[in-house]
Parts: sequence; structure tokens; C-alpha cells
Amino acid sequence: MKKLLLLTLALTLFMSGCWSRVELEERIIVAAVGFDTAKDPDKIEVTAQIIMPGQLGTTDNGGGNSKEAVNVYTDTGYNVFDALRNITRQTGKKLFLAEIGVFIVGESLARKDIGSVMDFIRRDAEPNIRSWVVVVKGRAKEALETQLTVEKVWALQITKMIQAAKFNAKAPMIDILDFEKATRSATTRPVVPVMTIGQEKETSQNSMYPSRKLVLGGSAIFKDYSLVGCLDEGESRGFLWIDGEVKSGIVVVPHPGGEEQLMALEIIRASSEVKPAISNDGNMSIKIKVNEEGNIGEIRPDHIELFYPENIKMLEKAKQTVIQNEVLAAIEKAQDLNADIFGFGEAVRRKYPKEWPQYEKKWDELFPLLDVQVEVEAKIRRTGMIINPQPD
Amino acid sequence: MLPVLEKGIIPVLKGAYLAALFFTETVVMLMIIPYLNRPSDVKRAVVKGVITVGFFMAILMFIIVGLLDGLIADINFPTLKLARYIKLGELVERVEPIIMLAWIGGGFIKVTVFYYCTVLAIAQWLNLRDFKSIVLPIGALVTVLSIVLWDNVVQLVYQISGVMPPYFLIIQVGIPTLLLILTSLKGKGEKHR
Repeated sequence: MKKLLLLTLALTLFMSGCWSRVELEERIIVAAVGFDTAKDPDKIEVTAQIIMPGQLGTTDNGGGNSKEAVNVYTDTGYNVFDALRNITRQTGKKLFLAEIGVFIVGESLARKDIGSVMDFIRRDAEPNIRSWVVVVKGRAKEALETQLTVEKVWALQITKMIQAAKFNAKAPMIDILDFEKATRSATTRPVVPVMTIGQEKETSQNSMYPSRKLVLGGSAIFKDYSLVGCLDEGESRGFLWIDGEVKSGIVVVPHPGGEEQLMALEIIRASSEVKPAISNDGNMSIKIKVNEEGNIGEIRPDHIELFYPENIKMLEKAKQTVIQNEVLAAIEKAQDLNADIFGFGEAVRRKYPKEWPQYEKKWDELFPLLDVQVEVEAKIRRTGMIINPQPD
Repeated sequence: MLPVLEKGIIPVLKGAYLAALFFTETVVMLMIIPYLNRPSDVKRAVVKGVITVGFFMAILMFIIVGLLDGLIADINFPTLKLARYIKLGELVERVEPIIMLAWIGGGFIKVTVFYYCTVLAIAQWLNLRDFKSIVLPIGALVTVLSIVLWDNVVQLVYQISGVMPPYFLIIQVGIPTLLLILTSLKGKGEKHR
């Protein structure tokens, strides 16, 4: 017994595997990282928004010398890792990357190349491959230095803005893993949400960070790690319809009859099917079926009598046209850019694995001319809390 | 996951060959059999163990391939990536310590078994009365070899998956089978039972 005890004690001496531990107060927790081009064309500018834990619990109402819960540090280096380590020259502590919620890429760098940025994120042990990716029109540094109001940790608000796509369906959501998966696919191209920076508002005096409006909407298409084109919000939703990623949102539909008035129809659920077909003479076509269900959200009641079922059918038809146009616009833009963002190539590969190799090589020539048929079935289920009374 | 068997059965067999070789490591159990209380139960226990491990491995691989898809080939620790990906709402996150715990625990047990068998085998080979005297020297040797044998991870992975398989096959399958055949020819196997 005594021997066993001694052995256990000896083991605790040698086997405590904490040689690389870092105390919590020695960590600097990074909430978001932004990447930009630097003035020196060989260099890259990395901006880190770090959390100041001491400021998290305090209330801002005190006025006077309230401080932000985050701080922003920027430095340049020849690549991401170099720049991140250069930041320690300012902070004095090593940056902890595991809590990063979102990676922000400035437009100029996105247009250049983010291949090695993605490699760093996936190679380093700390960053999570589940973090979101977003492209900023402008500089990532500006976006990260923008003071936001809803969340104390501004990066958290950016994360929530990305996730709000499930309420508005105006931008895609993509994490590091999906980005890399799409990039590695022989045909598919990743689509990344886009954030725009608005004009500077009046800044409160006790803050060194300006207050601006950040808006998330639209998307950017990447090809071999560089940005090749953008989709606007409507086209982005068209992409989401095809991808089956529309969770909710508002479809704005002109009143049948009164075109100048617009009504709002809420999306409740949506799904899609992508069916490739190869005819006997080797021609390929893609059939897309989008199923959508929704409720009436807002209309001018004097324009339409909701009492009659055939009028609901009319609304459904009008909604169908709007959705169809969004889908077609997305396809047209993607074909213009020759970027298979919908994964049509993968769909063909799954259905025709034997024939696929001969199509794979010439996919770049095939895709822009691909025959895509879109069928939309839109339903209206409920009219909300009110229904129009029967007309006299 | 689709299409199944896109490039035919050959790549699958190539992968299965490597994976199956890891299961042949169960051959070390032969070293322990003579020291068990009920050697007759060994067959059932080993088969049970292999089937259970194989079952869970298959489930795990299914999930990993489903999640990582084309990226699986260049990720060093897919299981760890999988664990870090797990996020159930805001509630269940960062479960990778559990995986690491199981992993390191499993690794520890595996090293222990292999170490014990190595020591035992060398003691028998040198006709030593007691294996205890060579435990520490072998341990020192193993420690040194673990540092000296491979310069980097790429070398290690290349050696295990690119160079060693034929040797694994000979040592873990060939030699035991040969011995089995020889002993059964000599009729010794029957006598012992």
C-alpha cells in the first residue's frame, strides 16, 4: 500500500502535463481578426479585436470615463502569423485565437489572394474551423474599429449580423470549413457574405473609436481564393433559394393589379431540389425546384379581398414570379462570372459518376451555357392575426 | 457521401488494407494469453473487442467523412476537428477535452500493453528468469528511440502508411500464421489443449 502511494505521488510529479499552460490573465482573448493589404505590397495588415474582460461587467451608464469592452490592435507582417506575432510588440501578451467568432477579409486583399490566410487558420491549432468568414467592402480594420451598440463585444454583434441571415435571407452564411470544402471542390465556388461600412456618425467624446453603420447583405464569390464578383441582396437570396438555405425572410411582391403598391409576404419554410439530367446526345440540363411556404405579412387590404381562396392563389402566383426572378438573376450572374456557386457540378457528379470525368475537365466552358430550368412553387398558408371581412 | 464507389472498389480496398493492418495489432494479445486465468475465454474476448472497436470506428469514420468530405486527406487529427465542430446551441461546446482524455487514455493503455509484451518477449528470448530486470533498460531504449527514429511528423506518417505496411503484414500476420501452421503440423497445439 505504501509503495503504491509512493508510486502515485511520483507519477503526479512527472505526469502533470501542463508544460504549455498559460494562465488566464496572461491570455489576450481575440474576438475577431481582420485581414487587409498593407501599404507595402509584400505585406499583410492584420487587425485583432481583443476582449478586455475587466470592462465586460461594468455598466456604461456612469458616464464620464466609461471604457469599451474591446480594444483593437493592428500590425503588419509578411504573412498572417508574422503580423499576429508582431502585435505582441504592442500588447505584450500572446494572442489567444480559439475564441475568434468571425474572420473579416478586406476587399482589396480578397481580390488579391487569401489562400495563405485560409491555410494559417486551418493549420494553427487554436482557430476554430466553425468561425464565420465575411468580406468587407472597404477595409477590415475600419470594420473592426467601428463602435457598435447592441453587443459590448462588437465582434459578437458582427457574428450575430451574419447569423441574422436566417431572419432576412439576404446574405449567405459560411464558415471556414465550408469555404475550404467549396474551394477544394473541382467545380463549386464559395459564396461569402458581404458587409458594407456606412458613413461615420458623430463620435462620443470619451471613445477613440468612431461609430459607424455596418450593414450585412449581399455576397461575394471566390474563385481559387480570390474574389471575382459580387451578388446583390436579391441575387444572394436567389442563391439561397437554390441552396435550400432560406430559413425565413420577407418577399416583397407587387399587388396583382395594383403594381405600384408592394406587399410583404413572410417566408416560413423553403426547400429546394437540384436535378441534373443528361440527354442521350450528351446535353446537360439542370432542373431546379424551389418549394416555399409563407404567410401574409403586410398588404393594402383595399386592394384585394382575402376572403376568396382564388385571390390567395393570385398572390401565390405573384410571389412565385418574384422568387423565380430572384433565382434566375442569381443563375445569370453566376454564369456571367463563370462560377458554379450552386454546386451544380457536384450534383452532376453525384448523379452521373461514370460520365462525370469527361464533363469535369470542360466544366468551365459548360457552366456558362448550361440549360437551367427553374420551377417555383410558392404557397400562402396563413393571413396573420387578421383576415379581411367578406365584402358586402 | 454519394456517389458510392465512384472510382471503383480498388481505392476502397487500398484504404481498407491500411486500416485492417491496425487491427492485426491484436496479435500482441498472443503474448498475454499464457498469463491469463481463463485462457479459454480469450478468443471470445478478442473477437468481441475487435468487433466493438470496428463498429465504433466505422460510425466515427462515417461522421468524419460526412463532415469533412474532400478535406479529410489533409487533416492530421480529423476526430479532433470533428469534436471542435460540435456545437449544440450555446450549451454544448468545446467537447474536445473529452475526446483528448479518451485518446490519451487509450494511447497510454496501448503503449503499456506493447511495452509489457516487448519486455516479456525479450525476457523469454534471452531465457531470463524474471522480466523485471529489463523493464527500465527497455523503457530507456523506447524513450530514446521515440525521439531518434523520426525527425518530423511527415516522416512518421510516411513510414507508417508508405513504408511499413508490408513489414506489418509479415510480422503481424505472416509469422504468427506460419507458427500456427508449424505447431499444428507438429501436433503440439492439440496436446496443450
